[in-house]
This record gives sequence, C-alpha cells and structure tokens, in this order.
Amino acid sequence: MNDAEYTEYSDETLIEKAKKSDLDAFRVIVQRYESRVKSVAYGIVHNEDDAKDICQDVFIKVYRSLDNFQGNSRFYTWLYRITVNMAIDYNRKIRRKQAMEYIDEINVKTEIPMPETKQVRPDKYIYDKEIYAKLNEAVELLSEEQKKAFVLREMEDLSYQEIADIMKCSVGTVMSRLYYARDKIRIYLKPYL
Amino acid sequence: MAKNCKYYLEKLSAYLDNELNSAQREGVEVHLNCCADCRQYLNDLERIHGYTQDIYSSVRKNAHQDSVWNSIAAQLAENGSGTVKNPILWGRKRFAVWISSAVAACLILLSGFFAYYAFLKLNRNQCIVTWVESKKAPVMVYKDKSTNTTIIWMFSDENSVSNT
Repeated sequence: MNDAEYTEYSDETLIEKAKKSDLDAFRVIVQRYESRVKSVAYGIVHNEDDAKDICQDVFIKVYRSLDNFQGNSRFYTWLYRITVNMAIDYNRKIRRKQAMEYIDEINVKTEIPMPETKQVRPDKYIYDKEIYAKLNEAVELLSEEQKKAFVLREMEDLSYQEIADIMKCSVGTVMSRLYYARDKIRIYLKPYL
Repeated sequence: MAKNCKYYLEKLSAYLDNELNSAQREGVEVHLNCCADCRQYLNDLERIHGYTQDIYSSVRKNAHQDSVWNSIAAQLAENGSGTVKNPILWGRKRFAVWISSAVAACLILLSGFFAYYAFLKLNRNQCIVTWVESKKAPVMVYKDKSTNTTIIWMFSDENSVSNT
C-alpha cells in the first residue's frame, strides 16, 4: 500500500490500522495533525522547542493509548484534549522547576515569533514586538481553563461546541471562559489598544 | 456605560466568534448602534484577535517545518510495544515518589521524636521496682519519684501479701 492511498483514509480507518501496529497508518495521522498539535502546545507554553517536545510526547501517548480510544468522540477532540492537558502539565513542571531554581520565567522561556511582514518600519517592528510580548504575558495570566478555551478558539478556530467536547463542559461554560479570558487580556493590553 | 451593558459585554465575545443565534445577534447589533462604550469594547476585542492571529499564523507556518515523525518512530522502535517513559509524566511520577519518600521520612522522624519524648517523660516519674529474694520471704520495693512514695511488699507465703 502506498502513501497516497493512506492519506486518503479517514482518521477512523487509520486508527483501526494503527491499533494493529501499522506504523505507516500512524505516520499519516502524525503528519495530518502535528502542526495543529504543535500550534496548540505553543499557545500554552509559548516556546517552539517546548511545543515540539510536547507534540512528540502527545503522539507517543496517543499511540500507546490507541486501544483506549473507543471512537465515541471525534479523534481530533481526543487528540486536542491530550495536547492541552499535556501542555498544561508541562507548564506546571516548568514553573515548579523555575521556582526551585529562582529563574526569571519571562527572560528564559518566552520567545516571540515575529510575523513575517514585507517592509516594516523599525519603530513599528519594536512596537509590535512589545505588543506580542505583552499578549503572551496576558495569556500567561489566564487560568488554565481560560487558557485552554482561548488557545483552542484563537489558534484552531474551533467552534464552541468542539471546545466544549474537548474540555468536557457545556457551551455556556466555554462562552463564559472566553469572555473572562478576553476581558482579562483586554485590561492587560489596554495601554496598547 | 449603560446598566444593561454588562449583559451585552458578555455576549460580545461570542458575537465576535459568530456563536450567537440570529435573535441574540440582532439584539447585540441594536445595542451596539446606540452604545459607544460597547462599540469600543468590541473594537478592542477585534484588535486583540488581530494581534493573536499575527502571532499564531507565524507559529502555524513554523509548525509545518521540521516533522517530529522521525523522533517518534525512533522512540517507538526503541521501546517496542511496552510502556514508554513519557518525560513529562515520568517527571511527575518521580516527583510523586520523591514527595512520598520525604513524607514517610518525616513521619518516621516525628514518631521517633515522640517515642523518645514519651520515654523521657515516663522516666521523670519513674517507678523503681526491686524484687529481693530472702530466706524468710521475698520483698518487692516500689518507689514513685513524682510523689516521693516508697511501698514495700513482703510476701510471707504464696497467698498472703503485706505492705508497708
């Protein structure tokens, strides 16, 4: 069976094959979702190298847990749930480590990828960079649940129902978490808006 | 800001995400037409959304490069079908083991301390019991330091006891 054939399969078919230790099927799943998993992880940890490590751990965990996936929910719902939980766990671990080592979190961890622009004035570049740094700081201030909802919405553009399925809560709760998350960010960024 | 603005502010986030039904959406739009504060609030949310998209689009672009598959395949091959030591989870488990060992060590130290303390306290009021065997009769001496009392039992025979 060639790669092109595999890429045409649905998630469910690929998972059934991966459950039977078909690594080619699992490779297609990884290729299909790795950029999304990395992006969501980045939204929580704000570091691309850490996001890559988390992505790797997520897929290994997924592969080991494939037998637990019964297919009652969509595969990506399950995958995103694992991703946000592992990223939050990773953040907690990093915070504990930094608390023990007395390292300034912002200086060490945060990296801000600057969006590619054609020709940006230096003063605009510096201003944008400051805003992006502040935005990352503001996201760090959110509660874990608010952060999950915000990242899934802003990064993956998921619907409230999809976020509710991932976070195992009601649509109303998602709406409320997003409102409070954005309000907190708005207050933090007010001088720049 | 009007009194009912709080209600609409909560709806503006969902309005931005296009998650309101048509009636709610219409209600929000009517309110926005007559409330400058809420329009400003929505404008702020839109600008934040714009900044977020700027950052996340470049993250998404970078995420396509440098696939993690080779590392995953290597790790799966190395560990076979057995359990993989997930670095994050393994770190948590190790931390839990470390914490429980520390708690157990503290409990042992505390119980040792209490046992020693109880032993010292008991000895402060110690009672001395001496048993003296003699030809006439065995004698037992009991001395309580706390009350400074001495009691002596003399056993004349097996069944009778006299004390002084």
